[in-house]
Amino acid sequence: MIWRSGELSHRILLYDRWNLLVEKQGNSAENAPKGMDSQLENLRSLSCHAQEVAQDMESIVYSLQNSQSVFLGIEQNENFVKNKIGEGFDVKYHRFVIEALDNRQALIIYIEGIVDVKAIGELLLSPLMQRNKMPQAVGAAEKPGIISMLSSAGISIATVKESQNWTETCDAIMEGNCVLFVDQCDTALLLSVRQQEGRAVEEPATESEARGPRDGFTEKIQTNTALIRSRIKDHGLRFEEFKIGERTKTLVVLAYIERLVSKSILNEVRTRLNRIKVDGILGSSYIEELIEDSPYSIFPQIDHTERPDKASAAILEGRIVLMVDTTPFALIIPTVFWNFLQSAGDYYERYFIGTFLRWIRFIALFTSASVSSFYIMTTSFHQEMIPTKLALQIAAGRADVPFPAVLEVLLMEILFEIIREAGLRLPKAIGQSVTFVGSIIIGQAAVQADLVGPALIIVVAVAAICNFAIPSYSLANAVRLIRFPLLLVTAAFGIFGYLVGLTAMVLHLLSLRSFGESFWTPLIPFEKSGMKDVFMRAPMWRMLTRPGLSHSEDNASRQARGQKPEPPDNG
Amino acid sequence: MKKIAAVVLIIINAMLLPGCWDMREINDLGMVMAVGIDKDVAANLYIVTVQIAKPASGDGDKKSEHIWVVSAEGKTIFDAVRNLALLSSKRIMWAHNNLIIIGESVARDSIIPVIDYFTHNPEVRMETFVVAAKGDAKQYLSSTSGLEEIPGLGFRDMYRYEFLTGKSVQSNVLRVARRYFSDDRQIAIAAIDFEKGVIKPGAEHPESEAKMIKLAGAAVFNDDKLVGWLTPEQTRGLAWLRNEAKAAVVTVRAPGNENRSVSVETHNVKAKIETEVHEGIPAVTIILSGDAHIDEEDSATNLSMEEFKEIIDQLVEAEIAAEIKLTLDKVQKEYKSDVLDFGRTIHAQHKEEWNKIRDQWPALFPKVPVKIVVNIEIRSSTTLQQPMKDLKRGIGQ
Repeated sequence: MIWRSGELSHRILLYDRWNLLVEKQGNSAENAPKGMDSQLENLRSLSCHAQEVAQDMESIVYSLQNSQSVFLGIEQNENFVKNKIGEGFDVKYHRFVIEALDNRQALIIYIEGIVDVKAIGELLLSPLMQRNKMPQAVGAAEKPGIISMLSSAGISIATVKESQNWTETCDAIMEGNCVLFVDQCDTALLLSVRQQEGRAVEEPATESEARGPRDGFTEKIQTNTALIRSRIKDHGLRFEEFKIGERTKTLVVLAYIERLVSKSILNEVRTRLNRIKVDGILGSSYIEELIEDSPYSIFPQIDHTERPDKASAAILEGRIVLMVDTTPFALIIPTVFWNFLQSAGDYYERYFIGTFLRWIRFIALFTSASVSSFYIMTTSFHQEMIPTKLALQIAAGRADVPFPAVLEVLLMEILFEIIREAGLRLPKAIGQSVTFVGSIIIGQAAVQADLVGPALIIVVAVAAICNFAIPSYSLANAVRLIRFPLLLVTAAFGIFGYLVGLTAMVLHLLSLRSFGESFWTPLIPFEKSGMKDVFMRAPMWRMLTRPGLSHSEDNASRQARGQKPEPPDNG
Repeated sequence: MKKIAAVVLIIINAMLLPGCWDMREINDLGMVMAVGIDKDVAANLYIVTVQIAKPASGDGDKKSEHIWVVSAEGKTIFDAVRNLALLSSKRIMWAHNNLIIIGESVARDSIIPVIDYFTHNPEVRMETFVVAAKGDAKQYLSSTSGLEEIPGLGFRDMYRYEFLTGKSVQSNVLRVARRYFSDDRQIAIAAIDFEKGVIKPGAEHPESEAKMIKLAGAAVFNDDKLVGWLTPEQTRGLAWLRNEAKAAVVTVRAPGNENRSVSVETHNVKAKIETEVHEGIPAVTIILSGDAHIDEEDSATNLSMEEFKEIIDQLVEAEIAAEIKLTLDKVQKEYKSDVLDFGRTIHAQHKEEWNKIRDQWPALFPKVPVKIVVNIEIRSSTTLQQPMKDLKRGIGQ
């Protein structure tokens, strides 16, 4: 229609021109064009209307189709489904005859690959097609009761649902159900025979710990919920279901313990999830981006994990774990800044080393963000800050380097990022040689060729290694990025720029919120009981209360007092 | 959107327009390691000589020079320093300077310009060491130090361990400036001289080429002018009073044997100066107390340890008192310069009397009677009870 009306208007234009020419020449041909003109005008308005009408009709048909209930006739039903979800090679339509019901026609529809074909054969087809296996009651049933009779007495599949709604029925087929239609019945039977090939439970690739459980989440949400169920057997454990994505219809599950969770945060999460109207959800990061508090911030505000033990610990603290089908990464809500620097291993090792490692991470975080800027600041602006002998060594290393230090740092930082990116997606065997070429050959050769100073190679390497020491991958990525603006502002203003840059970064972090709560709890606002898990990892017998912001207020106590182990009193 | 664009523009301009404003690369700097100041009195010109480190990368460069010494003249010190830029390919930076050598010519003339320039230069650290050179400062800057490649750095470290002998004084820019600005004490600066006869391996005439700087006592100033030198021995008397001799070695004759000696090492020596003013006439008592250990004994005695300690104790006390007396004679009677802080102590202890005698103090100081009380306790002996020789003899039998 659009093409046609375009052509039409083109013709009208041509005609107008011709009309003008005619008017100039004289009045002889006046009558005929005038009649054509009005006719064309009518035609144009008609075509516009036709377009609108067609659109309206389409939408009416669509809504009619969706509201329509299952037909009586089996042919009609088959055609409707074929029209709706197509005749793909994996969509199977299977007609058969139920002997017990006077050879009545029946139809099953399923999608191969996501259903258990063996179960369909053994538990559905075999009882229906063999008269002797069918109870007498089924044959005697009244017409409207046939379907419910079948579901209760005929078929040996546990999860069965009746439906008359087409949308529900078609969704069920897409989700891996087998749908049964019986001739002259206006109800479909949805049989859950879902079986999908998935990865086995493996050790988490991104968060492995020396001492701790070895299982990790998989892409299958049922496996993931089972992993949490196997850890928490509290009656209050809830898995709240959401379907998000207009087309992917992805299953999203909120896991929490009802009596521990903060109601206000739970409601906020529900509101934000219900707000999402997108085509598809292909990973938990989609959800993360759609529900976080400050979308313009470079820093992550929601932690994610691949470890069921970490997720369970969060649930026990009264937080909410958001799991998304088809992704092994679960989100933890709400998250405070400190969570990004805690690791599951802290709780599996003795608390001394747990505390020590936490401090190591703080140092690594700060170093990774600022060591290259610090290098620029000292070598290009404030040489008096460097001890004399070190200053002479750096100067000696840089003696023949032709670039200013900033350019040198930028060059190496970017080169390092390229090497890292290059090695990331290559097959493992090649990836290693990339790392080798990057680190040894380029690093060494650049120094020998006097393109960069040796001190700088150390600085860049230290920044990179420190970045790897940050337990949260998303925070590490944010730090990777923040280095560059800090570097530039330091290169422009020296120590002034360095401090202003750092201050701006801290101020920005302070301004962040996680689901309405301060990102720096319990340090800011200060809460003494929460501090036991921030700068130190308190021993288990001292962790008496749950961390402040997340849990519901009447359930702060986590465990009984006085559990510090002591030798038996022999005295 | 407009707002964001404006903010981005401001940030970009703020970063680009200053053009890395006071950025200077570390390898574009000539880092001064030591500076010497002389004066051509006849022409009224200051001669500033700097020792600049030449950063050399490790291997292969061992034979090349590690320093570059250059001088420039000017009507003032600042003028001369600026004239250095005519000769230097790198920007001269003072922040890593370790040593300021004041040439004798400047010291005899006036050290005010030196104090003035180096306290006003923001790059100079206030704890930079200040020494007075015997002769021209210039010649010391091109001499080498035994262990370090950069003499300036070597000298700094030498100075750091000065307390082991107590035969020099601690003087840095801050101390000199503070002493200069107070009217109740005078300046004493560590002195340097050449040590002769150190063998330099590989040189053609090892003995003649050997030239090394050593700490050689102190230079005593009266107001801003050099009035005389103290030998290292005389300087130690000063160090005792200033509590700067922290681990000094005192050697006395061994009891019963004129040719042998005993060395003790002192610890925790505290000098207390007590003053009194009677009708405008001040008197000073110096009370020195501390511990000592016997470190080396060279002779055999028949005495028991207790008796031996007793005798050594008395000898050490007498020796220290004599050292102080020696310094007093020189400083008080000859140089008439109150580097001993007597005036300051009176000022602190008797404020009102001090205000009365303040003006006559330079005249009064040489006449102040001084009483010296030394009270050293020998705690223990770090050597065996018997000297090595006796021990060997005993084993041999």
